[in-house]
Amino acid sequence: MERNLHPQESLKIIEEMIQNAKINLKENSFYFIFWGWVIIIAEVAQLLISRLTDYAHPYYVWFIIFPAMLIAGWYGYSKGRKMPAMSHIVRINIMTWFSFLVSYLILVIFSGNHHYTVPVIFILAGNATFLTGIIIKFKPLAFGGIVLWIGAICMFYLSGIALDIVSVLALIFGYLIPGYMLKYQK
Amino acid sequence: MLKKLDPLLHSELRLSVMSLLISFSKADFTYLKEQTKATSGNLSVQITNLEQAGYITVEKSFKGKMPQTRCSITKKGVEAFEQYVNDLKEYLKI
Repeated sequence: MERNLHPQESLKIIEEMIQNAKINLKENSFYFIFWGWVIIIAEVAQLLISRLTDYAHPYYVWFIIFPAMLIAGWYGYSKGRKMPAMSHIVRINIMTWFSFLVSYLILVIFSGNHHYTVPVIFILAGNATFLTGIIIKFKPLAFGGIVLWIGAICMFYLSGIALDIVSVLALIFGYLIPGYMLKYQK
Repeated sequence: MLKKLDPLLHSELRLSVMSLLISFSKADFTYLKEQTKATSGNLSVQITNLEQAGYITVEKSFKGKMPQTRCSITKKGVEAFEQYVNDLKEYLKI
């Protein structure tokens, strides 16, 4: 026999359950830390190879992106399988980064080696980072997105080593620092 | 005159399940059981009631060798839940 609920109790149940439904979003930090390091390593490796050696294709180091995509994809897939429930917030966040991935691939495959490719990638990454910050209500990430946008603006006017330095700085302040802050937040 | 609260939602366990599902696009049976602290039998019966009313859909599959039941709320369920909350507000004069 079911107990008759008082409307006040109903309200309490709804509040409690919605509170319980809040999922730990710290796991998002993996992606920012992982991609931050992958891109910084590729950037610095390209810079060192082009400055210190005669090798004609230093940009080949960027092929590191493809195994990195597999690792990130595998991580996301295994986490997703273990997740007992998929919240709307997590789903919107996944779709935000999926749209970034599609835009990134279109740009990399079809734009050729255009001077504006790198800053446009930073604009797209800035969009997704900013949105993740807003979606999960974590301000440092939203600021990280703004840092990536500012980095992109600077890149339109820079080339050579200055462009590499700005992109590394934008990644440190836009990805890595907010990523670590998310990881270690209480 | 105050409206009668939806009897299907005006039950502790069914309301708990619906409140959880309103936040998730999909949720495992085991997760719902853990959060509501209900017994498997009772939860199973209430999920069937909600499914029969068209408030939720239930998807059965296998995760490795383990059977997996995933629930999600339907459009009708969302509307019923919203109506229930509005009626509740009227009752409580919020």
